[in-house]
Amino acid sequence: MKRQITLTTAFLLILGTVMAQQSNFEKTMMEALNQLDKAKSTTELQDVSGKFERIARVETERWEPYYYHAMILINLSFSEKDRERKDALLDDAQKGIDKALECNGNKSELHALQGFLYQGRLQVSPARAANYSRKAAEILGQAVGEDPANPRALYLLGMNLYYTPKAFGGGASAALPKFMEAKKMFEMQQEQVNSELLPKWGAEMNQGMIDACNRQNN
Amino acid sequence: MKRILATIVLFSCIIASPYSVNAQMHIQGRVTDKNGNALAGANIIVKGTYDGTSTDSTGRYRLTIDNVNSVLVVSYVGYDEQEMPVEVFLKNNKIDFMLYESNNQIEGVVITAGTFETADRVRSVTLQPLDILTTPSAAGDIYGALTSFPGAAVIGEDGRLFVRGGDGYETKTFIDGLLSKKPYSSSIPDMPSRGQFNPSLFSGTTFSTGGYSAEYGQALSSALILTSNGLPLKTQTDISLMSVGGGITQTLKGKNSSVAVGVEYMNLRPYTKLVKPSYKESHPFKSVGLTLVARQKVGDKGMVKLYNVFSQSEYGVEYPEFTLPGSMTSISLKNWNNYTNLTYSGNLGKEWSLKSGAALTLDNDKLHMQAFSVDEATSNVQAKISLRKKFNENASLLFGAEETFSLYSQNYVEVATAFINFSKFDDFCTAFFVETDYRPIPLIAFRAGIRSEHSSVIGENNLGLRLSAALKLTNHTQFSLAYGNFFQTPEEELLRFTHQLHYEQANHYITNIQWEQDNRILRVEAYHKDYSKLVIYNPVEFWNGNYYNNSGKGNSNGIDVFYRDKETFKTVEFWVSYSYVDSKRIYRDYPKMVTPPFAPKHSTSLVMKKWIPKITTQVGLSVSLASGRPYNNPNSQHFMNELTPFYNDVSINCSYLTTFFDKSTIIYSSVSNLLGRDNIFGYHYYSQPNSNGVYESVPVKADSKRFYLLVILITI
Repeated sequence: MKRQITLTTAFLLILGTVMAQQSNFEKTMMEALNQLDKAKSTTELQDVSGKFERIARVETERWEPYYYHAMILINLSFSEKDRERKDALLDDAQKGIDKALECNGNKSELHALQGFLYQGRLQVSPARAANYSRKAAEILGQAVGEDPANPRALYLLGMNLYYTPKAFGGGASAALPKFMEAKKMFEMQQEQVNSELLPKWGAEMNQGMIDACNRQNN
Repeated sequence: MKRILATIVLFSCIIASPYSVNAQMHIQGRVTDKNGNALAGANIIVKGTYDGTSTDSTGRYRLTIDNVNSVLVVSYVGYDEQEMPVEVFLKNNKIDFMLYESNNQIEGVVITAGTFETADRVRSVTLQPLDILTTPSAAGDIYGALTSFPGAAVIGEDGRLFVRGGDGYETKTFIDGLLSKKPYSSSIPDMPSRGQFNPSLFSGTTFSTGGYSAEYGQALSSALILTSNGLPLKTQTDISLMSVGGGITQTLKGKNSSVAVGVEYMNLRPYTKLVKPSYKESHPFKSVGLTLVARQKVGDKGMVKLYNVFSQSEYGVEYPEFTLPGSMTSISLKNWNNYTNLTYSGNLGKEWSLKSGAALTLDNDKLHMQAFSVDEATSNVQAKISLRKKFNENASLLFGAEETFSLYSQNYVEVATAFINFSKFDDFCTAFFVETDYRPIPLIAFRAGIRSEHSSVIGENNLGLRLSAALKLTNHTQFSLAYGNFFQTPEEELLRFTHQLHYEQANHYITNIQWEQDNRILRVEAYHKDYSKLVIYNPVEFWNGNYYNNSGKGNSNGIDVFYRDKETFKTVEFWVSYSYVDSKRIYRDYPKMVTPPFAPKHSTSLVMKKWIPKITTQVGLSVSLASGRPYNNPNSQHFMNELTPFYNDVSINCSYLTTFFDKSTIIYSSVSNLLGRDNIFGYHYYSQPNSNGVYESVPVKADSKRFYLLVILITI
């Protein structure tokens, strides 16, 4: 009997440890996500990107830390001035996306992020515009296909159209329907009670683009 | 139960912070690059935990550590990370880190000798499909665009690529790794041919002017390697209306597949009414083309690509006959051609990738002149499989096999004498290749390959070596070397009369230095090319196989300079190239070693494109200049001893992007030879002298001085 209790205790102990780690992971992720929500400056973004990187290094089986780390690096690449540095940030982000896909992360979200990364590559040099705008559109289309309710994929697809010259079928009026659709999906997303760790960003930027489109159309 | 839970909670608390018994430690320091510049946002990580911090804008960090036995990791994007046991801080709680830029960020050196290629990175942007379409002197032709790059000569009466003092047949075109046996449109002598393929079908162009990979063979001088597009973006209809014809393409796109079908019709009859050609055209050029492009994604990274293009063309002209002065003959040419290319590429896992496919060329030319007629049929199938294993970022191995079957038949009939020569033969050419890429350190790269071929028609084996190396000198400069042995089975027109021949051979020695920064690239390449075993025959008895042998030889020495800039002027992109080549050879019916007509000593060109956002228009200008080309004057004692006047062309174009009934529309127009220079490519001499015993000549020129093109492209 005593032996049994010891075994049970040991088993529960292990379970408890796993659970504690689990909750520790979620807790730390939530902290980092809160910090991300508040982060405005480059320094704050770098800080929280560092946090996700540290989590990702421990939780190598989870896709979320890779996702957020990559997402912040892509954002940082837009504000970075030095071109080689931009590419270096995107190179690291690419590694993150690749790893997250290996962890069987949410395909639609990761492909949307891949599209965002291509848009990052595009803005490094105008010489890349044609190639990467095409690549981005392709993968974003795939992301929407995988989850038609993914607001980020729709928003990023809208961005692609917005910055495509009108003569090539882009421009504000072509992009607006995508942003509107994204808006609808952002609102639906809010109502759903999904995992806390799933990506939620983009609603404000999407609204900003809707306003920009409306200003241009008036 | 409550107790058990309580125990678990207690235990988990202990486990979650197992080392809290250790004394806390406050550590600090600074992270810089090798020049002492602060690295802001570097990550200081307590290895194996979530703990850590980031450096501030001055590169400083502060951190409290619970366990003396832990290890610190310092990481920063683009730099090599460093580790440091925390114990070290026991002596001094302040430690600075100096990080070094990491290899893959400096981007390991890439072999560049002999190659111009498309790449996505800023660092090596050289040649993209749009560049071809918007180069004014190219008039939408891939081969035309490549003559604005160094190494390729402008040979206005031919249209093929003549690279570094090499003949046109020495360049081969490959689509997705497979041979395109007849990449040029069919044409009569002195009329330039064009590429069969629409440049917009390709996302990548690698133009190798020498020293290329062991994957490609049977080309003495150069390989043009085209990579076709992946899945199209969406279902759409493209309509093109040209001053010389029109076409329509319907693209259908599914989730993982696509099909595009296109039809194109060209007829120069209306055009020749407006712009008179120099010789009377009984049948101005007319052609019909059908294109089918299909794509199917297989699995995550696999793709099946099918590409089929069929074309049929007709042309007739009244042209000098070159026997008695003043005599004319009517020439007519009918051609049909079909090219099929089917490939599969995919990942086999564990860093193995597979590329395989087959390409089929069927071609028939019917040439009629008053004195004789030629009916020529070519069939060619190539099947190829190649495997690549990537061991790591710095080492990979490529190997594969290739089988090419060619069947050639020609029926030559002389009307007056009823002389008939019918030749028909086939060739199985089997090839194996192995190549390895190795980068022992990021600054040095090696590529070594071997290729072996067996050609059944001449019953001979060959074994060629391909070596190249690159060394990164600074962040933006690199130095490359390449060496290679290249073999080519003698051309069909030579094999008509004998098969007792050997491979023609060329060895390439190339050295190259390249500087690249932002959107500027400068490269200077020097080369030496050695030809041996070129086929020689008797000019009088060219049909007599006994006079054929491989005793010809030659060499080319030269320098190519290329500068491209997308940076200095906003919205302006330009490139300048200059080539110097000193080429001599004795081959075919040459009696002695001379500079061939296709190797002008100096050639230079400038291409400039300006995008004017306000009116969504791009304007382009290209200027080419080349020194005179050798030609043979039978009135002179010496062979191939005279030079044509220099060549000059100024072309402009303009592409206007707009919407037409809400549909994307591009209006493109171009004019070649704006200055109207009377370029002379060479001279033909009548075979019979006139009454004064002098051989009279006719200059070879473009069929009309200027070429005007207007194209309207509408996408629905």
